[in-house]
Amino acid sequence: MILEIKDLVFSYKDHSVLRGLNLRISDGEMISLLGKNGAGKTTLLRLIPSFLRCQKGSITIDGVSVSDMKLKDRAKCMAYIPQITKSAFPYSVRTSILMGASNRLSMFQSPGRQEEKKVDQIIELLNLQKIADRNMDNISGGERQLVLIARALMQDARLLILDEPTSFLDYSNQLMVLERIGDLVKNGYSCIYSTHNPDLALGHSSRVVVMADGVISYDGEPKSLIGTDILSRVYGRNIEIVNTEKGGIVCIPE
Amino acid sequence: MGEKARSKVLILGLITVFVSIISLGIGRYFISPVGIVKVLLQGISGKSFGMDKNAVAVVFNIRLPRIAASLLLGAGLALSGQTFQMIFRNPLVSPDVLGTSTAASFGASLALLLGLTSVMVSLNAFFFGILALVLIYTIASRTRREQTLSLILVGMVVSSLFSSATSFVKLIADPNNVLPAITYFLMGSLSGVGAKDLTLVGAPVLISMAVLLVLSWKINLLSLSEDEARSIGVNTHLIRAVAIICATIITASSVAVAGNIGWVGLIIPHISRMLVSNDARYSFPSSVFFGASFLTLVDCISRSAATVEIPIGILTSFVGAPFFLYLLFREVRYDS
Repeated sequence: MILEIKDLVFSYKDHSVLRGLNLRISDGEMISLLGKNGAGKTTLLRLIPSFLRCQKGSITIDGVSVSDMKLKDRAKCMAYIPQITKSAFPYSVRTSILMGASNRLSMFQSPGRQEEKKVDQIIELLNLQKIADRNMDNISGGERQLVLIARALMQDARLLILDEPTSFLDYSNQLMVLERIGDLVKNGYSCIYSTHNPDLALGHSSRVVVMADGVISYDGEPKSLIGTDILSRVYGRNIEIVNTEKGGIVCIPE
Repeated sequence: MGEKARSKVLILGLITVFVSIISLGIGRYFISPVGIVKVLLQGISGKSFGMDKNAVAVVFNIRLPRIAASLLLGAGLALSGQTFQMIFRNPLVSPDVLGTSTAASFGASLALLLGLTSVMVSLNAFFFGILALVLIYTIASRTRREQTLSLILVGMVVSSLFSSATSFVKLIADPNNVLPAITYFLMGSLSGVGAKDLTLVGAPVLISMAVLLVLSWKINLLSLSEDEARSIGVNTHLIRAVAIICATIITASSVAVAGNIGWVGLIIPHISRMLVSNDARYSFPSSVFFGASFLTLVDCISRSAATVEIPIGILTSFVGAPFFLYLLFREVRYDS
């Protein structure tokens, strides 16, 4: 499955956000999206599943325009996972994951045994057995993020779109969530996520995409950023990107 | 989780049957629960089970229509409240959030002012209740705000307009006979509800309730954020519209035959969520049974506690408030 974004233009009234953005995502890619506040990361992520309508350009999946797809079909291709929100009526973890099955049900249908069985498989896959019967209010932020990812898997979505999945999480939970996403990507899923933490982006992605001035100012492997001043220009201060002895890549702000 | 919730719903269903049988026996002519079962069997089958003919007449002609009404409206109002709370993602919302009851009250008051028949009072109330929804949807769809927020804002405006209109009707009504009739009607009572009213509102309320119960799983998804629900592949606009229409039909029907019965639609949904589940697949049927039992029980007190009948709209909060507070404190203790 290939997602292709071509010459995307979007503005909120007079405020221009995206000015001809191009991006291609293939199966098995884990793309981290970097950029300053207001660079348009969330706007881009919300444009992909057609929550917003672009003024110009196109977004296609294997050549089919995403905005022309039926809501149900779109949900089978991609899942948008927002930043963690608190629901007015928190459901159990199991019910929350089960909700992902709704795209295969008719309007008046409820999930049955087959869907419940699939929930069990996904719970096992993401190692959520311990919290499966707990309420969404009684689990940690990292676990909540995993439940939302589990819900996306329930949809059968191959492309995961995550808006700042690591915000509000402690360091170990940030790593845990990205590692689990990494495991899914190894199994053929693809993922694009935004983050404000360049270290996480460099350590947990196959491609780093940097947004500035409504376009993509850098798109490449994390290691290609070593020794460049790309992040320095984006964030407006000197940032050195270096290799560690163990083969990792880290940012060192001056 | 599912099994546990299902058994709780079943228990609530049995409680509703029990409350109905007890209520059928309570009144000036007391009949024991066993007697009621015999009366029902005698009335339905036509064979004699040793019960007095007067008892059969009292139960079938007087008490049964009234208890059927309290079961129907209690269940309907609780389900309508539960639906609105989930649609607007707000546990403080009641069935009147879109001004349906206020508009229906105006319709009833206007009909009483014009001296129309009781059927016309009901029909007028129902018509204005639905008219308010049409107005709200038409205006809200022309605003650029998020749909749920604009519905609430426009609902508040329309509700306050109809509330003022009702006050105006009261102002010009004859204070000797029309004004008391309007005031009593608006207080809410099941005393005047007969078989005729039930045939009038029975079908719309039952059909709307059936649709909401079948839609319960999808209504769960409306309580997520708009982006989340759409990402899952659910047409939120269509489900929300169908759910709002059904909940409004129930509310308007209730005001049309029984006036304003508050509290049921606000508190029963909370109680069913607290005791059963947040999942609408279980909280919807439990609200139906809880609402039906609660209103039947309160109506039983309303018609038998004093020599003069106490309007049910007054009693619902007197009876419901202490029970709700008990549950609230029990939950706090459990959490800590």
